[in-house]
Amino acid sequence: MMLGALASILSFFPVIGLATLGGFLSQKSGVWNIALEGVMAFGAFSGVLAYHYLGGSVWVSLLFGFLIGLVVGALLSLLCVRLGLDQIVTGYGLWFITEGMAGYLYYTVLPSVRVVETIGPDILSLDPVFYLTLLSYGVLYMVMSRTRHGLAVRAVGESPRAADTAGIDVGRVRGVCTALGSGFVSLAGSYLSLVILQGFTYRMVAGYGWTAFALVLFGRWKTGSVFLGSLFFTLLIGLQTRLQVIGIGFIPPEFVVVLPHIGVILALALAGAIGKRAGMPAALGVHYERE
Amino acid sequence: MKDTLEEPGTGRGPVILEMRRITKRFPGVVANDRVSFDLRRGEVHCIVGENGAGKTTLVNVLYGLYQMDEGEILVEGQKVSIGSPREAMSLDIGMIHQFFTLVPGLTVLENIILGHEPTQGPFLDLERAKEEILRLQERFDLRVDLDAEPSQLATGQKQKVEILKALYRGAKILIMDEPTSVLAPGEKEELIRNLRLMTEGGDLSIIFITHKLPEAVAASDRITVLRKGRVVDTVEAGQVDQAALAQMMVGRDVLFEAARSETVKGERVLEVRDLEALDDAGRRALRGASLYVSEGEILGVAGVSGNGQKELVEVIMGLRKAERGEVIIKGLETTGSSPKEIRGLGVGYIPEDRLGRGILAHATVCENLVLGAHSKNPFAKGLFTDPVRIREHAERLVREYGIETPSVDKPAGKLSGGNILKLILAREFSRDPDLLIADKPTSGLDVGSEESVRRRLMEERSRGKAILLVSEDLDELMTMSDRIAVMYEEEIMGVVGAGEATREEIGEMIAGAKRSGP
Repeated sequence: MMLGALASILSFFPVIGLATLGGFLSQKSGVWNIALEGVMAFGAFSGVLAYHYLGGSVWVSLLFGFLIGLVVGALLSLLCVRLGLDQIVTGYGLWFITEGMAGYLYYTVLPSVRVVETIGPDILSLDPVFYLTLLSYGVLYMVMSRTRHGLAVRAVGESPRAADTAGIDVGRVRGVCTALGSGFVSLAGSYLSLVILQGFTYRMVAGYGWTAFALVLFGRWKTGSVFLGSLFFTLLIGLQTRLQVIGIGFIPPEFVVVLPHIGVILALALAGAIGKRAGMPAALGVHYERE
Repeated sequence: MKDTLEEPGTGRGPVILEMRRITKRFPGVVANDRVSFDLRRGEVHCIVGENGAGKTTLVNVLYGLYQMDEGEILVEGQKVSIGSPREAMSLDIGMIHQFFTLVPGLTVLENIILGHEPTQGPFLDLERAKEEILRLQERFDLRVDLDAEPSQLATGQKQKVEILKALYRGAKILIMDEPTSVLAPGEKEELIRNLRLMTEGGDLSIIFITHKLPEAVAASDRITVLRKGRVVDTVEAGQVDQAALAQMMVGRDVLFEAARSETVKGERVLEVRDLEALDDAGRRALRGASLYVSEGEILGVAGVSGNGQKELVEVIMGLRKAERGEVIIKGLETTGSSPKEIRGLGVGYIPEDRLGRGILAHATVCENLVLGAHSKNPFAKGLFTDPVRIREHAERLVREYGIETPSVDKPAGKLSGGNILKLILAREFSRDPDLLIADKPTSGLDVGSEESVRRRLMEERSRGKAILLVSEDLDELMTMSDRIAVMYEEEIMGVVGAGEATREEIGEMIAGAKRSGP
């Protein structure tokens, strides 16, 4: 019983974990992607779109959602990395467009889609995407700390000029990280619509994208901390859902719903108190151009 | 290609780098005028010269940062073209800049291997890298903790990391652009010792740029002196004394005599006693500085920039904290007062950073001209400013000072450099200050504007104002000042009457080769 409850809570982990991982990758290379919320919504829509038109396989639909995320991320890096537009303003616009488009297209183009297929064999009553998320973090950790690619990403995020001097193609590294990161964010959205909610509704992402964004800051741009942070937040969400169902006396359910978000704010405040910009890539948000 | 040049017989290695008749022009100046330079294997070759003599331009050409207009470069007898730093690196040329290019979040080890990582399969081979770097550290006595992050290192250690970076990439020719200017005294001696060690085996040859003669003589095998973009001479370091070098460096141009009228020197308007201050990095930049300026007098402050002049001026203006000592303006101690209080005493200020400190670039010419007085009579009444008066005032100053602008409503930042300076002069002089602090007021100006600024300052002097004039231009100081204070490495080397010292003597003081009693 307990194990079952835990498994059901953890099945939500890929939503938070993958989105956070995507935001992390982009920020680590020095690019703010503040459109996580919108990219997730678009991923959620793309997932059900693919489910409807591409033969009803959840795996294929997840892959499609990931690829769409790559395209959206490539657009963002074209605007911010190549053309040097302001990352905050561009990201803000991208959030509106992707979230709005997802809702608009779903209600005008698609008939209501209900996802009925399950994803495949469960392992310990958790679906494979959970393990895929764990694996992704493992690979991310190894790449960032043990390979020259990881070294290049960190160098570009900290000091693009020094990286350029050392012969690293700053634009390419940032572009790849932003696109790939956006792919993971979109995948998180697809997982949310295809596996967790088994359908699409407007604004279904409900702030999880913003949560993921905050979790990168909370994790102080360290792979391990970011992983633990998203796991911790997943547990908070699970707890909140349980409490809502059980009910705890005089506390109104609306208050229970906001609990995880209060948790994030507290965590952020705590992280901020420890060290304002500690761990933050020094060139985050700073466009680089050769003189 | 065979090297046809005769090698003077010094018994040292063959020439590995030759730069022949390099000419590099920038709009309005010839930075390098047919400069020829060669470097022998295992040699430390110093390039000395005043600021603007073309030292940095020459090495930037070598490192591919600038493209030369004429001339040729030969590395080991082969003619090469160097279009970028990357091409320079592939020719085993490395450069240590004055400002370091270390990545803050990476360890020292990661910084050194960045871009040249040894790998094993998909992973970095940090062990191998470490071994190799430890060998270099051992051999050249460049000890730095490889696991530290740059923020934990002192400046001298950061520089060692930069040197290790170049050596790790297999540099055979190392360019160091004023490497000692950022170092503390103990670190300087260590660096100079290390230069010897690094070149001993003949695997490395070093081009060392400085304007400090004691260092040049101590560190190098040969010294090339540049002045105004041309080579004055290349000499063996052992066969020349500092006085002769100083003379070569500053030249013996005939000075034009300014019509410096005699003025009555009145009371001391500014007096600075035993002042001590730190620079932005928290290192001591000013020590035991004492000087005074009287009414009707210009006190020149000479020296290569970065020797404490900036800190001196900022302490006087209340923009920087004095660690010790006192500033007295018109008999009142102002140490620790705010810039507003100090200006209120009748002090005008022409900052070196004219765009950043001198004006509000996005505000209009009109607003800039009234800045600071905008809330006072007659420009303001009660809560509101008086736009009509402000405009009249601005238009009058624009006419009077010949500020070229289509209208007073144009953003001040859009004006040319000379006109921005005129704007600042107009604003400061219109307040009729008793003391004027002018920090390099003519730098970056064309000859015409230079002259008009100098004339203005001389006029103020003959009206009995006290002026502190900081400049790197020795000619300017010698023609304008009544007395000259020379700064070298955080200290005032001496104050001399403009008529008493020769240009060569002051040149030696600027280069740290000579001291003079006040």
